[in-house]
Amino acid sequence: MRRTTWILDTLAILLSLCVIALLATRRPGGTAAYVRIQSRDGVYQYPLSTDRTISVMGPLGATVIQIKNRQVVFLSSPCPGQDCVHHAPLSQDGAFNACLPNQVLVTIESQGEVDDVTT
Amino acid sequence: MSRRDEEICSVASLCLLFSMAEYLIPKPLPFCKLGLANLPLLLILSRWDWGGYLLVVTLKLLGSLLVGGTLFSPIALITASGGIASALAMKGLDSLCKERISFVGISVMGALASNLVQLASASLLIYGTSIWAVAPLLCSIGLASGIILGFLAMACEKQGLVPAEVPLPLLARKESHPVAFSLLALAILCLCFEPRPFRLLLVWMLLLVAQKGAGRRIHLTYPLVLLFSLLLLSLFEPVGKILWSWGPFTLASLSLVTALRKGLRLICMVTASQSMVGLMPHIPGRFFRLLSETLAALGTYQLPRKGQKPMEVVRNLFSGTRQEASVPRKAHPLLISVMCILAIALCIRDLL
Repeated sequence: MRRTTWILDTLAILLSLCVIALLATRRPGGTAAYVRIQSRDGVYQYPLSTDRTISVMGPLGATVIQIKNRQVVFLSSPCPGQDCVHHAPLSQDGAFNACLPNQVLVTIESQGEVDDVTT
Repeated sequence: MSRRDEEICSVASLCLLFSMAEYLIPKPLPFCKLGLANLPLLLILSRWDWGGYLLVVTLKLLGSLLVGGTLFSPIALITASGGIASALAMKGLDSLCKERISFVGISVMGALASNLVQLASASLLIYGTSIWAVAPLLCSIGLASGIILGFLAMACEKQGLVPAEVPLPLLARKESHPVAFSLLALAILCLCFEPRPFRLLLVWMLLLVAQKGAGRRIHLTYPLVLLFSLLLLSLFEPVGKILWSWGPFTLASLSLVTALRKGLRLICMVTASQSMVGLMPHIPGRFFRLLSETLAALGTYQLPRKGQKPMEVVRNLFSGTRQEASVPRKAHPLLISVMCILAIALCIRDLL
Protein backbone atom coordinates (compact mmCIF):
# COMPACT_ATOMS: atom_id res chain seq x y z
CA MET A 1 0.00 0.00 0.00
CA ARG A 2 1.29 3.48 -0.83
CA ARG A 3 1.88 5.68 2.24
CA THR A 4 1.66 9.14 0.72
CA THR A 5 1.47 12.53 2.46
CA TRP A 6 -0.61 13.93 -0.44
CA ILE A 7 1.87 16.78 -1.02
CA LEU A 8 2.94 15.59 -4.46
CA ASP A 9 -0.64 14.72 -5.39
CA THR A 10 -1.78 18.24 -4.46
CA LEU A 11 1.07 19.70 -6.53
CA ALA A 12 0.04 17.54 -9.48
CA ILE A 13 -3.58 18.74 -9.27
CA LEU A 14 -2.45 22.37 -8.91
CA LEU A 15 -0.19 22.02 -11.95
CA SER A 16 -3.11 20.66 -13.99
CA LEU A 17 -5.32 23.54 -12.88
CA CYS A 18 -2.62 26.06 -13.88
CA VAL A 19 -2.34 24.48 -17.33
CA ILE A 20 -6.13 24.57 -17.74
CA ALA A 21 -6.20 28.25 -16.72
CA LEU A 22 -3.41 29.04 -19.18
CA LEU A 23 -5.23 27.27 -22.01
CA ALA A 24 -8.49 29.05 -21.15
CA THR A 25 -6.87 32.47 -21.50
CA ARG A 26 -5.14 31.58 -24.78
CA ARG A 27 -7.19 32.28 -27.94
CA PRO A 28 -7.33 29.54 -30.62
CA GLY A 29 -5.00 30.59 -33.41
CA GLY A 30 -3.32 33.14 -31.12
CA THR A 31 -3.46 36.71 -32.44
CA ALA A 32 -3.44 35.73 -36.10
CA ALA A 33 -4.24 38.59 -38.46
CA TYR A 34 -7.13 38.37 -40.92
CA VAL A 35 -8.07 40.24 -44.05
CA ARG A 36 -11.70 41.30 -44.00
CA ILE A 37 -13.30 42.26 -47.30
CA GLN A 38 -16.68 43.96 -47.37
CA SER A 39 -18.49 44.31 -50.67
CA ARG A 40 -21.94 44.35 -52.16
CA ASP A 41 -21.52 40.56 -52.57
CA GLY A 42 -21.12 40.01 -48.83
CA VAL A 43 -18.36 39.90 -46.19
CA TYR A 44 -15.26 37.73 -46.70
CA GLN A 45 -12.50 36.79 -44.27
CA TYR A 46 -9.11 35.23 -45.04
CA PRO A 47 -5.97 34.65 -42.96
CA LEU A 48 -3.07 36.98 -43.77
CA SER A 49 -0.67 34.06 -43.50
CA THR A 50 -1.91 32.25 -46.65
CA ASP A 51 -1.19 33.65 -50.14
CA ARG A 52 -4.29 33.85 -52.37
CA THR A 53 -6.04 35.98 -54.97
CA ILE A 54 -9.67 36.93 -54.38
CA SER A 55 -12.15 38.42 -56.83
CA VAL A 56 -15.18 40.27 -55.41
CA MET A 57 -18.06 41.74 -57.40
CA GLY A 58 -19.26 45.32 -57.05
CA PRO A 59 -21.68 47.49 -59.04
CA LEU A 60 -18.94 48.30 -61.62
CA GLY A 61 -17.49 44.82 -61.95
CA ALA A 62 -14.82 42.62 -60.35
CA THR A 63 -12.16 43.96 -57.98
CA VAL A 64 -9.20 41.58 -57.64
CA ILE A 65 -7.36 41.55 -54.30
CA GLN A 66 -4.13 39.68 -53.66
CA ILE A 67 -2.74 38.44 -50.33
CA LYS A 68 0.98 37.68 -50.70
CA ASN A 69 3.83 37.57 -48.19
CA ARG A 70 1.46 38.87 -45.47
CA GLN A 71 0.64 41.99 -47.53
CA VAL A 72 -2.62 42.95 -49.25
CA VAL A 73 -2.86 44.83 -52.55
CA PHE A 74 -5.61 45.65 -55.05
CA LEU A 75 -4.42 44.03 -58.29
CA SER A 76 -7.18 45.53 -60.42
CA SER A 77 -10.50 47.33 -60.11
CA PRO A 78 -13.01 48.76 -62.66
CA CYS A 79 -13.04 52.24 -61.03
CA PRO A 80 -11.93 55.25 -63.15
CA GLY A 81 -9.39 56.75 -60.67
CA GLN A 82 -7.47 53.52 -59.80
CA ASP A 83 -6.47 55.06 -56.43
CA CYS A 84 -7.08 51.72 -54.70
CA VAL A 85 -4.66 49.94 -57.08
CA HIS A 86 -1.94 52.53 -56.52
CA HIS A 87 -2.34 52.43 -52.73
CA ALA A 88 0.61 51.04 -50.72
CA PRO A 89 0.34 47.39 -49.67
CA LEU A 90 -1.49 46.78 -46.37
CA SER A 91 0.22 44.74 -43.66
CA GLN A 92 -0.43 46.33 -40.25
CA ASP A 93 -3.30 45.59 -37.92
CA GLY A 94 -6.03 48.23 -38.50
CA ALA A 95 -4.78 49.25 -41.98
CA PHE A 96 -7.44 49.63 -44.67
CA ASN A 97 -7.96 50.37 -48.35
CA ALA A 98 -11.14 50.88 -50.33
CA CYS A 99 -12.50 51.15 -53.83
CA LEU A 100 -15.42 53.48 -53.18
CA PRO A 101 -16.91 53.47 -56.71
CA ASN A 102 -17.05 49.66 -56.66
CA GLN A 103 -18.05 49.55 -52.94
CA VAL A 104 -15.19 47.32 -51.78
CA LEU A 105 -13.52 47.85 -48.39
CA VAL A 106 -10.49 45.85 -47.19
CA THR A 107 -9.24 45.94 -43.59
CA ILE A 108 -6.65 43.99 -41.63
CA GLU A 109 -7.78 42.82 -38.21
CA SER A 110 -6.47 40.56 -35.47
CA GLN A 111 -8.55 37.55 -34.37
CA GLY A 112 -10.90 38.45 -31.51
CA GLU A 113 -10.97 42.11 -32.47
CA VAL A 114 -13.42 41.83 -35.36
CA ASP A 115 -16.00 44.59 -35.34
CA ASP A 116 -19.65 43.60 -35.58
CA VAL A 117 -20.69 44.88 -38.96
CA THR A 118 -24.11 44.23 -40.39
CA THR A 119 -23.88 42.51 -43.76
CA MET B 1 4.36 -19.02 -25.44
CA SER B 2 6.19 -18.57 -22.09
CA ARG B 3 4.39 -18.06 -18.80
CA ARG B 4 5.57 -14.43 -18.76
CA ASP B 5 4.15 -13.83 -22.26
CA GLU B 6 0.80 -15.25 -21.18
CA GLU B 7 0.75 -12.93 -18.17
CA ILE B 8 1.53 -9.98 -20.44
CA CYS B 9 -1.31 -10.91 -22.83
CA SER B 10 -3.71 -11.40 -19.93
CA VAL B 11 -3.08 -7.94 -18.46
CA ALA B 12 -2.99 -6.29 -21.92
CA SER B 13 -6.35 -7.83 -22.85
CA LEU B 14 -7.82 -6.50 -19.59
CA CYS B 15 -6.56 -2.98 -20.46
CA LEU B 16 -8.07 -3.41 -23.91
CA LEU B 17 -11.42 -4.43 -22.43
CA PHE B 18 -11.53 -1.27 -20.31
CA SER B 19 -10.49 0.74 -23.37
CA MET B 20 -13.40 -0.71 -25.36
CA ALA B 21 -15.80 0.06 -22.51
CA GLU B 22 -14.90 3.73 -22.99
CA TYR B 23 -16.34 3.67 -26.52
CA LEU B 24 -19.77 3.39 -24.93
CA ILE B 25 -19.30 6.67 -23.06
CA PRO B 26 -20.16 9.84 -25.07
CA LYS B 27 -17.18 12.20 -25.51
CA PRO B 28 -16.85 15.81 -26.73
CA LEU B 29 -14.23 14.79 -29.30
CA PRO B 30 -13.74 11.38 -30.85
CA PHE B 31 -10.15 10.68 -29.81
CA CYS B 32 -10.30 11.91 -26.21
CA LYS B 33 -10.51 9.18 -23.62
CA LEU B 34 -11.40 9.01 -19.92
CA GLY B 35 -8.49 6.70 -19.23
CA LEU B 36 -10.35 3.66 -17.87
CA ALA B 37 -7.79 1.45 -19.60
CA ASN B 38 -5.16 2.89 -17.29
CA LEU B 39 -6.68 1.19 -14.23
CA PRO B 40 -4.81 -2.12 -14.72
CA LEU B 41 -1.71 -0.14 -15.73
CA LEU B 42 -1.78 1.84 -12.46
CA LEU B 43 -2.00 -1.37 -10.46
CA ILE B 44 1.00 -3.01 -12.15
CA LEU B 45 3.16 0.16 -12.03
CA SER B 46 5.29 -0.82 -9.03
CA ARG B 47 5.13 -4.58 -9.62
CA TRP B 48 6.46 -4.76 -13.19
CA ASP B 49 9.72 -3.48 -14.66
CA TRP B 50 9.91 -0.98 -17.55
CA GLY B 51 10.18 -3.73 -20.20
CA GLY B 52 7.04 -5.64 -19.20
CA TYR B 53 5.10 -2.44 -18.52
CA LEU B 54 5.92 -0.87 -21.91
CA LEU B 55 5.09 -4.11 -23.70
CA VAL B 56 1.63 -4.14 -22.07
CA VAL B 57 1.18 -0.45 -23.01
CA THR B 58 2.17 -1.12 -26.64
CA LEU B 59 -0.14 -4.14 -26.91
CA LYS B 60 -2.99 -2.16 -25.36
CA LEU B 61 -2.45 0.76 -27.76
CA LEU B 62 -2.11 -1.34 -30.90
CA GLY B 63 -4.98 -3.53 -29.81
CA SER B 64 -7.33 -0.60 -29.25
CA LEU B 65 -6.38 0.89 -32.63
CA LEU B 66 -7.05 -2.46 -34.32
CA VAL B 67 -10.34 -3.05 -32.54
CA GLY B 68 -11.46 0.55 -33.09
CA GLY B 69 -10.30 0.20 -36.69
CA THR B 70 -8.37 3.47 -36.75
CA LEU B 71 -4.90 1.96 -37.12
CA PHE B 72 -4.55 3.02 -40.76
CA SER B 73 -5.78 6.58 -40.25
CA PRO B 74 -4.24 9.75 -38.73
CA ILE B 75 -6.30 9.14 -35.56
CA ALA B 76 -3.82 6.34 -34.77
CA LEU B 77 -0.93 8.77 -34.41
CA ILE B 78 -2.97 11.03 -32.14
CA THR B 79 -4.15 8.19 -29.91
CA ALA B 80 -0.74 6.50 -29.80
CA SER B 81 1.14 9.70 -28.97
CA GLY B 82 -1.25 10.42 -26.08
CA GLY B 83 -1.10 6.84 -24.81
CA ILE B 84 2.68 6.72 -24.86
CA ALA B 85 3.00 10.13 -23.20
CA SER B 86 0.58 9.06 -20.45
CA ALA B 87 2.33 5.71 -19.87
CA LEU B 88 5.78 7.29 -19.71
CA ALA B 89 4.56 10.04 -17.37
CA MET B 90 2.95 7.50 -15.00
CA LYS B 91 5.86 5.05 -14.92
CA GLY B 92 8.36 7.89 -14.75
CA LEU B 93 6.60 9.48 -11.77
CA ASP B 94 6.35 6.13 -10.02
CA SER B 95 10.06 5.44 -10.56
CA LEU B 96 11.05 8.94 -9.41
CA CYS B 97 8.71 9.47 -6.47
CA LYS B 98 8.18 5.82 -5.45
CA GLU B 99 5.52 5.71 -2.72
CA ARG B 100 5.59 9.46 -1.98
CA ILE B 101 2.89 9.99 -4.63
CA SER B 102 -0.45 8.18 -4.70
CA PHE B 103 -2.36 6.80 -7.69
CA VAL B 104 -4.36 10.06 -7.76
CA GLY B 105 -1.30 12.22 -8.50
CA ILE B 106 0.10 9.69 -10.99
CA SER B 107 -3.22 9.39 -12.77
CA VAL B 108 -3.71 13.19 -12.93
CA MET B 109 -0.24 13.73 -14.46
CA GLY B 110 -0.80 10.86 -16.88
CA ALA B 111 -4.07 12.44 -18.00
CA LEU B 112 -2.45 15.88 -18.40
CA ALA B 113 0.46 14.47 -20.44
CA SER B 114 -1.93 12.49 -22.63
CA ASN B 115 -4.28 15.43 -23.28
CA LEU B 116 -1.55 17.93 -24.12
CA VAL B 117 0.27 15.58 -26.48
CA GLN B 118 -2.99 14.54 -28.16
CA LEU B 119 -4.02 18.16 -28.63
CA ALA B 120 -0.65 19.03 -30.15
CA SER B 121 -0.72 16.10 -32.57
CA ALA B 122 -4.40 16.64 -33.45
CA SER B 123 -3.59 20.26 -34.20
CA LEU B 124 -0.73 19.23 -36.53
CA LEU B 125 -2.47 16.34 -38.26
CA ILE B 126 -6.18 17.08 -38.60
CA TYR B 127 -7.82 20.03 -36.90
CA GLY B 128 -5.32 22.91 -37.10
CA THR B 129 -5.08 25.52 -34.34
CA SER B 130 -8.87 25.58 -33.84
CA ILE B 131 -8.59 22.44 -31.66
CA TRP B 132 -7.07 24.52 -28.86
CA ALA B 133 -10.49 26.13 -28.36
CA VAL B 134 -11.64 22.92 -26.64
CA ALA B 135 -8.35 22.34 -24.78
CA PRO B 136 -9.62 23.70 -21.41
CA LEU B 137 -12.69 21.43 -21.60
CA LEU B 138 -10.63 18.34 -22.49
CA CYS B 139 -8.03 18.97 -19.81
CA SER B 140 -10.75 19.59 -17.20
CA ILE B 141 -12.40 16.27 -18.07
CA GLY B 142 -8.95 14.66 -17.92
CA LEU B 143 -8.29 16.13 -14.48
CA ALA B 144 -11.65 14.96 -13.12
CA SER B 145 -11.34 11.46 -14.60
CA GLY B 146 -7.71 11.25 -13.44
CA ILE B 147 -8.75 11.97 -9.86
CA ILE B 148 -11.63 9.45 -10.01
CA LEU B 149 -9.41 6.78 -11.59
CA GLY B 150 -6.74 7.38 -8.97
CA PHE B 151 -9.21 6.84 -6.12
CA LEU B 152 -10.60 3.75 -7.89
CA ALA B 153 -7.09 2.31 -8.17
CA MET B 154 -6.51 3.02 -4.47
CA ALA B 155 -9.77 1.24 -3.62
CA CYS B 156 -8.72 -1.77 -5.71
CA GLU B 157 -5.31 -1.91 -4.05
CA LYS B 158 -6.90 -1.65 -0.57
CA GLN B 159 -9.17 -4.62 -1.37
CA GLY B 160 -6.25 -6.58 -2.73
CA LEU B 161 -7.56 -6.54 -6.31
CA VAL B 162 -4.76 -6.83 -8.86
CA PRO B 163 -5.01 -7.83 -12.56
CA ALA B 164 -4.73 -11.60 -12.68
CA GLU B 165 -1.62 -12.73 -14.43
CA VAL B 166 -3.33 -15.95 -15.52
CA PRO B 167 -2.67 -18.07 -18.61
CA LEU B 168 -5.07 -17.64 -21.52
CA PRO B 169 -7.14 -20.50 -22.99
CA LEU B 170 -6.29 -21.75 -26.51
CA LEU B 171 -8.00 -19.49 -29.04
CA ALA B 172 -8.95 -19.97 -32.73
CA ARG B 173 -7.07 -17.94 -35.40
CA LYS B 174 -8.91 -15.60 -37.79
CA GLU B 175 -8.54 -16.03 -41.59
CA SER B 176 -6.37 -13.51 -43.45
CA HIS B 177 -7.13 -12.06 -46.92
CA PRO B 178 -4.01 -10.29 -48.24
CA VAL B 179 -5.54 -9.19 -51.58
CA ALA B 180 -8.57 -7.51 -50.00
CA PHE B 181 -6.27 -6.06 -47.33
CA SER B 182 -3.95 -4.56 -49.98
CA LEU B 183 -6.85 -3.10 -52.00
CA LEU B 184 -8.19 -1.39 -48.87
CA ALA B 185 -4.71 0.05 -48.21
CA LEU B 186 -4.59 1.30 -51.81
CA ALA B 187 -8.04 2.86 -51.44
CA ILE B 188 -6.78 4.79 -48.40
CA LEU B 189 -3.81 6.10 -50.42
CA CYS B 190 -6.01 7.12 -53.37
CA LEU B 191 -8.21 9.25 -51.09
CA CYS B 192 -5.52 11.94 -51.29
CA PHE B 193 -6.36 12.46 -54.99
CA GLU B 194 -10.06 13.20 -54.56
CA PRO B 195 -10.94 16.69 -53.31
CA ARG B 196 -14.68 16.81 -54.02
CA PRO B 197 -16.94 16.22 -50.99
CA PHE B 198 -19.71 14.59 -53.06
CA ARG B 199 -17.36 11.97 -54.55
CA LEU B 200 -15.81 11.35 -51.13
CA LEU B 201 -19.31 10.67 -49.83
CA LEU B 202 -19.82 8.07 -52.59
CA VAL B 203 -16.44 6.51 -51.78
CA TRP B 204 -17.47 6.29 -48.13
CA MET B 205 -20.66 4.45 -49.04
CA LEU B 206 -18.67 1.94 -51.07
CA LEU B 207 -16.28 1.44 -48.17
CA LEU B 208 -19.23 0.91 -45.80
CA VAL B 209 -20.37 -1.97 -48.04
CA ALA B 210 -16.79 -3.30 -47.98
CA GLN B 211 -16.88 -3.09 -44.19
CA LYS B 212 -20.04 -5.16 -44.12
CA GLY B 213 -18.28 -7.64 -46.41
CA ALA B 214 -15.39 -7.79 -43.92
CA GLY B 215 -17.83 -9.22 -41.39
CA ARG B 216 -17.81 -6.13 -39.26
CA ARG B 217 -20.89 -4.48 -37.75
CA ILE B 218 -21.46 -1.01 -39.12
CA HIS B 219 -21.58 1.73 -36.47
CA LEU B 220 -22.19 5.16 -37.93
CA THR B 221 -21.88 7.08 -34.65
CA TYR B 222 -18.07 7.29 -34.57
CA PRO B 223 -17.57 8.50 -38.17
CA LEU B 224 -20.42 10.99 -37.87
CA VAL B 225 -19.02 12.35 -34.60
CA LEU B 226 -15.61 12.75 -36.33
CA LEU B 227 -17.21 14.64 -39.21
CA PHE B 228 -19.30 16.79 -36.90
CA SER B 229 -16.27 17.69 -34.74
CA LEU B 230 -14.38 18.96 -37.78
CA LEU B 231 -17.37 21.00 -38.95
CA LEU B 232 -17.84 22.43 -35.45
CA LEU B 233 -14.19 23.44 -35.08
CA SER B 234 -14.25 25.17 -38.47
CA LEU B 235 -16.51 27.77 -36.81
CA PHE B 236 -13.50 29.04 -34.85
CA GLU B 237 -11.33 29.78 -37.89
CA PRO B 238 -13.61 31.11 -40.63
CA VAL B 239 -12.20 31.46 -44.15
CA GLY B 240 -14.15 32.66 -47.17
CA LYS B 241 -17.54 34.31 -47.54
CA ILE B 242 -19.20 34.73 -44.15
CA LEU B 243 -22.54 32.95 -44.20
CA TRP B 244 -23.55 33.31 -40.55
CA SER B 245 -22.05 34.78 -37.40
CA TRP B 246 -22.92 34.60 -33.69
CA GLY B 247 -20.50 35.61 -30.95
CA PRO B 248 -17.17 33.78 -31.41
CA PHE B 249 -18.72 31.38 -33.97
CA THR B 250 -18.56 32.26 -37.65
CA LEU B 251 -19.65 30.00 -40.48
CA ALA B 252 -17.72 30.73 -43.68
CA SER B 253 -17.97 29.05 -47.07
CA LEU B 254 -14.37 27.97 -47.67
CA SER B 255 -13.71 26.68 -44.15
CA LEU B 256 -16.98 24.72 -44.32
CA VAL B 257 -16.01 23.04 -47.60
CA THR B 258 -12.48 22.35 -46.31
CA ALA B 259 -13.85 20.83 -43.09
CA LEU B 260 -16.29 18.71 -45.12
CA ARG B 261 -13.51 17.50 -47.40
CA LYS B 262 -11.14 16.74 -44.48
CA GLY B 263 -13.94 15.07 -42.51
CA LEU B 264 -15.15 12.86 -45.35
CA ARG B 265 -11.59 11.87 -46.21
CA LEU B 266 -10.96 10.98 -42.58
CA ILE B 267 -14.10 8.89 -42.17
CA CYS B 268 -13.28 7.06 -45.42
CA MET B 269 -9.87 6.22 -43.93
CA VAL B 270 -11.40 5.09 -40.65
CA THR B 271 -14.01 2.92 -42.40
CA ALA B 272 -11.36 1.30 -44.63
CA SER B 273 -9.08 0.88 -41.64
CA GLN B 274 -11.81 -0.87 -39.66
CA SER B 275 -12.28 -3.37 -42.51
CA MET B 276 -8.54 -4.00 -42.80
CA VAL B 277 -8.26 -5.05 -39.18
CA GLY B 278 -10.24 -8.26 -39.73
CA LEU B 279 -8.26 -9.21 -42.84
CA MET B 280 -4.69 -8.68 -41.64
CA PRO B 281 -2.12 -11.17 -42.90
CA HIS B 282 -0.40 -13.23 -40.21
CA ILE B 283 2.88 -11.56 -39.34
CA PRO B 284 5.57 -13.81 -37.82
CA GLY B 285 7.37 -12.87 -34.63
CA ARG B 286 6.90 -12.85 -30.87
CA PHE B 287 5.29 -9.41 -30.69
CA PHE B 288 2.59 -10.16 -33.30
CA ARG B 289 1.86 -13.46 -31.62
CA LEU B 290 1.34 -11.59 -28.33
CA LEU B 291 -0.91 -9.07 -30.13
CA SER B 292 -2.94 -11.81 -31.75
CA GLU B 293 -3.45 -13.63 -28.41
CA THR B 294 -4.33 -10.36 -26.63
CA LEU B 295 -7.02 -9.54 -29.21
CA ALA B 296 -8.43 -13.05 -29.22
CA ALA B 297 -8.68 -13.01 -25.42
CA LEU B 298 -11.15 -10.10 -25.56
CA GLY B 299 -13.97 -12.40 -26.47
CA THR B 300 -13.44 -14.58 -23.38
CA TYR B 301 -14.25 -12.10 -20.61
CA GLN B 302 -17.47 -12.44 -18.65
CA LEU B 303 -19.39 -9.23 -19.24
CA PRO B 304 -21.07 -7.44 -16.27
CA ARG B 305 -24.59 -8.54 -15.35
CA LYS B 306 -27.42 -6.09 -14.60
CA GLY B 307 -27.41 -4.81 -11.04
CA GLN B 308 -23.79 -5.81 -10.38
CA LYS B 309 -21.86 -3.31 -8.25
CA PRO B 310 -18.80 -1.67 -9.88
CA MET B 311 -16.26 -3.21 -7.46
CA GLU B 312 -17.82 -6.63 -8.07
CA VAL B 313 -17.47 -6.12 -11.83
CA VAL B 314 -13.82 -5.15 -11.41
CA ARG B 315 -13.23 -8.16 -9.08
CA ASN B 316 -14.63 -10.59 -11.70
CA LEU B 317 -12.67 -9.02 -14.53
CA PHE B 318 -9.45 -8.94 -12.52
CA SER B 319 -9.85 -12.51 -11.31
CA GLY B 320 -9.49 -13.75 -14.88
CA THR B 321 -12.80 -15.63 -14.98
CA ARG B 322 -13.34 -16.60 -18.64
CA GLN B 323 -16.07 -17.85 -20.97
CA GLU B 324 -16.02 -19.49 -24.42
CA ALA B 325 -14.73 -17.14 -27.15
CA SER B 326 -17.30 -16.18 -29.82
CA VAL B 327 -16.74 -17.39 -33.40
CA PRO B 328 -15.50 -14.57 -35.68
CA ARG B 329 -17.86 -13.56 -38.56
CA LYS B 330 -16.94 -14.76 -42.05
CA ALA B 331 -15.43 -12.20 -44.45
CA HIS B 332 -16.35 -11.91 -48.15
CA PRO B 333 -13.07 -10.91 -49.86
CA LEU B 334 -14.61 -10.70 -53.34
CA LEU B 335 -17.22 -8.13 -52.28
CA ILE B 336 -14.54 -6.13 -50.44
CA SER B 337 -12.25 -6.19 -53.48
CA VAL B 338 -15.02 -5.04 -55.87
CA MET B 339 -16.02 -2.16 -53.58
CA CYS B 340 -12.37 -1.11 -53.21
CA ILE B 341 -11.78 -1.14 -56.97
CA LEU B 342 -14.86 1.05 -57.49
CA ALA B 343 -13.72 3.41 -54.71
CA ILE B 344 -10.21 3.63 -56.18
CA ALA B 345 -11.64 4.27 -59.65
CA LEU B 346 -13.79 7.13 -58.31
CA CYS B 347 -10.80 8.70 -56.55
CA ILE B 348 -8.40 8.59 -59.50
CA ARG B 349 -10.97 9.15 -62.27
CA ASP B 350 -9.72 12.63 -63.07
CA LEU B 351 -6.11 11.47 -63.26
CA LEU B 352 -6.85 8.82 -65.92
